[in-house]
Amino acid sequence: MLNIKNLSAGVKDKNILNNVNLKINKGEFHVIMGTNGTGKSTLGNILTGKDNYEITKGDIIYKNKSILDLPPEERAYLGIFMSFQYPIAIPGVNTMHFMRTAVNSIRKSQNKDEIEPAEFIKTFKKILNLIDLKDEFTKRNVNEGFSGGEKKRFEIVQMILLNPQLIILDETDSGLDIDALKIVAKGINSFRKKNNAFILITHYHRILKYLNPDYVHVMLDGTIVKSGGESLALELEEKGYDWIK
Amino acid sequence: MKSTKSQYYLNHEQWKYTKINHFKDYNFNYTPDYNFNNIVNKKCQNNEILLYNGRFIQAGNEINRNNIIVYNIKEALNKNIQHLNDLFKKIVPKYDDLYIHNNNNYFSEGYYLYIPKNLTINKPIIINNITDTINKKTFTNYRNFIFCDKNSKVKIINYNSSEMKVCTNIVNELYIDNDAELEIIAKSNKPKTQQIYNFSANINRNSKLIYHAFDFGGKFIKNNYHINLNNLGGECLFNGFNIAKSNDYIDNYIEIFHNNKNTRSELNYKIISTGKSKSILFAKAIIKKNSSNCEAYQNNHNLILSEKSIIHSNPQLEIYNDNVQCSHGSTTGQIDDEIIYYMRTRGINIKESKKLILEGFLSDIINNVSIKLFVDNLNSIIKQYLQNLQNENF
Repeated sequence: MLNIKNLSAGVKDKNILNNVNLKINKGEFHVIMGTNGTGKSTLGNILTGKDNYEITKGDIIYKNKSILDLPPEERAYLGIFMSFQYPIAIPGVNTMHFMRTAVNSIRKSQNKDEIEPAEFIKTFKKILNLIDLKDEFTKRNVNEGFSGGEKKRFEIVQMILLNPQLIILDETDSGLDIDALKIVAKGINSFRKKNNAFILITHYHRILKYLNPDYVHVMLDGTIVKSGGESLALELEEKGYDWIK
Repeated sequence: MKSTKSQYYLNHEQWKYTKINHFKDYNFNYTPDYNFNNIVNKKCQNNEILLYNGRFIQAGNEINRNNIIVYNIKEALNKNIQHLNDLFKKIVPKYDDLYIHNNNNYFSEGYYLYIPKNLTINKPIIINNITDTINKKTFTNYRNFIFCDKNSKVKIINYNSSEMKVCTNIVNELYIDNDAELEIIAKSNKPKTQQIYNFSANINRNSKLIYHAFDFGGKFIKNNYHINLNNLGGECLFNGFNIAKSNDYIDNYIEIFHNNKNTRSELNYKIISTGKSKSILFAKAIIKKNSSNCEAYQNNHNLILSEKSIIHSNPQLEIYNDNVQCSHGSTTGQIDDEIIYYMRTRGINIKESKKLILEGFLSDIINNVSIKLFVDNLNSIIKQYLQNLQNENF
């Protein structure tokens, strides 16, 4: 599904990613861990097509095609989604209006008709409830006045509603209390399918016990330096990162 | 007759940003010829007051049924109406203003509107002005007077749109008597109009004015609002936006005088500016020395969407009493690229993202309007308007 080949990238004169290689198949769940400022979020931003980064080397092959030249919305049409580390507020834009516009944009790219408003509302509320958010959420504005936990949960709602195939979860677990963590993990697990794949960026093992990932990678100084199974995350939590350096 | 009294306005701050030199050769005493055949077949809605080039033509059945009185202003002045005799030309500011002076002397059109005591109607009165005259370098003077009697509660929607090249000098005087409430929605779209508009209101005990000003552009629009909270419990909510494009010029001066104790004012105003347009908001709340327990709040937020458009924002508080609650704030910026990126990752393209952001930006202003039907209508107008605005490459 995804093949990141010898990817090096940065901003202006600063190199952030150095020769990253990562291959992800359908149905797999990958975790990327690493110290602060090591390039994990940059990788997420580059996968979703954020401007301001310069790709100096390598390629990103998704569904057998390079996506480097595609803008963010076209990557979304191809099924790439990121749950943001810091979801941004959109003042005055209602959650329902926002999500219906997003759903219809993606449907349009697939030559499908717009979703019936009644059907959309029903689906939206069902997903909100699954993530333990009340119906009143439909009347609020996107991330405006949301608590940290609500923001993260709403990202998961968006993920389920937009039905992507490659999901990047950028520190979706940070800032969540134990109950919220379980709800978010439940939402993620409910969405795991044979034809989609996940990349979770995290600092902690605590969410992994609910998710049972297939692979854990360690990124240091913009490079994936070690890969293993879930046990690697436990080892990191115990020993820190120095033993890998 | 050309005015020679240019010294009248030069020193007042309300003209601080306004370039009016081009008016010096204009004629301020012009009464256009009307072709009434153009409106002879125009049917008036039940709740409508129909004006033609500022002149009162007819009122709908519901207006008459509710004992609301509408006259042509000149006709009303001949009827010896006590409150009109007492208040006409007295609500406008006391300082000399050239354009008010000209209007005082030369007004030719306008209406008198009386809202009876104890009248409450939820359905808004629609004042619809059809403009079809073209006047170059000449100003037509409209003069309107509204009196809301005690304990009345009404809403007025004022539609004032024209594609014609017109120059108007309008003076409105409003008096709201005790325990009354008036909500006014003034929606205006006049891309080729040059207009000087003075709106003055005296608000009496426990009375409230809610004024919504929605300007969708104009060649030269100069609005001066003078609100006087004259008695205990008087309140004014001033709410509005302007969307300026191309070479539009929209200049708002709003002064709210807290002339008595326990009065309250709130200003919420937003500007979206594109092209080479220029928008100005100069807002001032003045709390007099003896006006304790007053509240005055001013919020102004602006989005500037092109390199060549200009916004001046100047919210001011002048406070001469220690026992008050006041705040003011103003922000001017561009659309946040991080928001656009976030929306694009959800499949919403740049154009649609910006449209949604701008709709959201105006939403709290629009939601302050109490008339649901108008809110829906305004939302769809804004959607269409923003779609067209995107041709300005922001």
